[in-house]
Amino acid sequence: MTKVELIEVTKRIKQATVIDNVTETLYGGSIVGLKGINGSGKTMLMRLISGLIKPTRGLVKINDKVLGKDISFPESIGMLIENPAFLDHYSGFKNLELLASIKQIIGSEKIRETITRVDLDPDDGKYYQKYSLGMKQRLGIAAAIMESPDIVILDEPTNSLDSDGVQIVKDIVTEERDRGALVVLAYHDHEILKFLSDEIIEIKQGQVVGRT
Amino acid sequence: MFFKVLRYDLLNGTLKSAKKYLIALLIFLVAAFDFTLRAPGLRNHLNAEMSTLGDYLMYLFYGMNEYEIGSPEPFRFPALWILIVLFALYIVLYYPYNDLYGYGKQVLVNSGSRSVWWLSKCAWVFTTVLTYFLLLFATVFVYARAAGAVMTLNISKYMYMSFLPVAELKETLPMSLNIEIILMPFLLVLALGLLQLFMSLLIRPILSYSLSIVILVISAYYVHPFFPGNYAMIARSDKLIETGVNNMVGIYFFLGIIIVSVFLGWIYFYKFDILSNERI
Repeated sequence: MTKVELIEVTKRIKQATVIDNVTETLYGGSIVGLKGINGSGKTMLMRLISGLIKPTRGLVKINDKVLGKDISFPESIGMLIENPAFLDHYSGFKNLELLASIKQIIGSEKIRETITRVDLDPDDGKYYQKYSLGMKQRLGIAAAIMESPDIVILDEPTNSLDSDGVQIVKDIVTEERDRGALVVLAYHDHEILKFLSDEIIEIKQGQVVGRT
Repeated sequence: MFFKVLRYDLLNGTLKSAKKYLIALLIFLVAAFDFTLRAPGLRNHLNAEMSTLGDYLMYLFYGMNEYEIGSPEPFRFPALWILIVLFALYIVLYYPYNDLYGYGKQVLVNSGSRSVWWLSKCAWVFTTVLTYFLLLFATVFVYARAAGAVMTLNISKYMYMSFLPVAELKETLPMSLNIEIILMPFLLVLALGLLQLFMSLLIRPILSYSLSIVILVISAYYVHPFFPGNYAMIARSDKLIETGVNNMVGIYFFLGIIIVSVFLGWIYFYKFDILSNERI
């Protein structure tokens, strides 16, 4: 089972402490919601788990391997942090195919299946730049889950999605959890978070202030 | 893994630079055309018969003669030389940075290695600069051939007499300046391109580009071994003038900048926090 440990993690950026002495252990097979207002530190925590930023103090361990020391990034992770970013002059399928070509652990069929799973058309040749905000968000979610990673990080995944889209996200995170992945979600909206998560960690000014 | 990320960079980075290559082609054509307009007057004046391919290339890369500070002559900016160098640096300026805060962030995480990402970007800069100069040489080659030039890299004597300070010229002038024409401008752009890549991690890309401009302008203004632009200007070569700079020193200097930039960037990127692109 995947295990993510944050051990006395503090992150300072310039003079500001954005994460303040956080110690948490997260396990695969669960949906963990991060709750907090904008700027509370949710996205920073996700960046720390992803290896995009390094702790000023403390350790982040993925399956007992220290991020930034034993490994640069988690070995199996899919993420959608902030806005989805893809190549404007490629279709959705082509974008995911190029991304999948780095690890080469999935083929075209799995990419097509994942695009269909987020209710997009894998045969739609439309360039990404012509996508609506909702379509971009769906493609971002597809990119995060297509390789069936052990850790799935989704920052406000229902942004720009309609009610059908929210239900798709709910189904996806549940399925990902059920196959054993650790799903970490961040939201500022408590109702949606409660609807999607197994457990909720509340963050305020970079500190964990509650767990439900 | 390195080659997979490099393949991605070559595909994606080149696609994003396609329009810039077209502008570069236009610059090279206009520069060659400008030379064909000027050359007959220069040749007639010195009773020369034909221009060579080497003459065309010298026209692009001669730069400017040493400027004497305090001279009543105004400082004349080496516009064509600086345009060719700066445009190449512009092509390699934004892609690595924008990629890091966009799609490339996912590529980086998927690659599992910061070193792979950094070295791939360095290799992309090398490939892009090489492509730029190959395009330049190919364009000038085709243009010069069509214009009836003699297809040799030898430099005509009238070029030396027309563009360089006759009083300061050495007694024996070389027939050709292959290293100065082919290698030195390429190495200058590669060295500054990699320095820009490293500096873009520390400051905004536009500021690192400004640093390149400052280096080139100072190089035009002062002849000094520490100002790298001097090594890529034919008019500053010690093969032609006594007070010129030596190209072997230049090669070592450029290699030094390249190695230091790649190495420092590698070390720095290892600890670099990838936040968002608010610094653009």
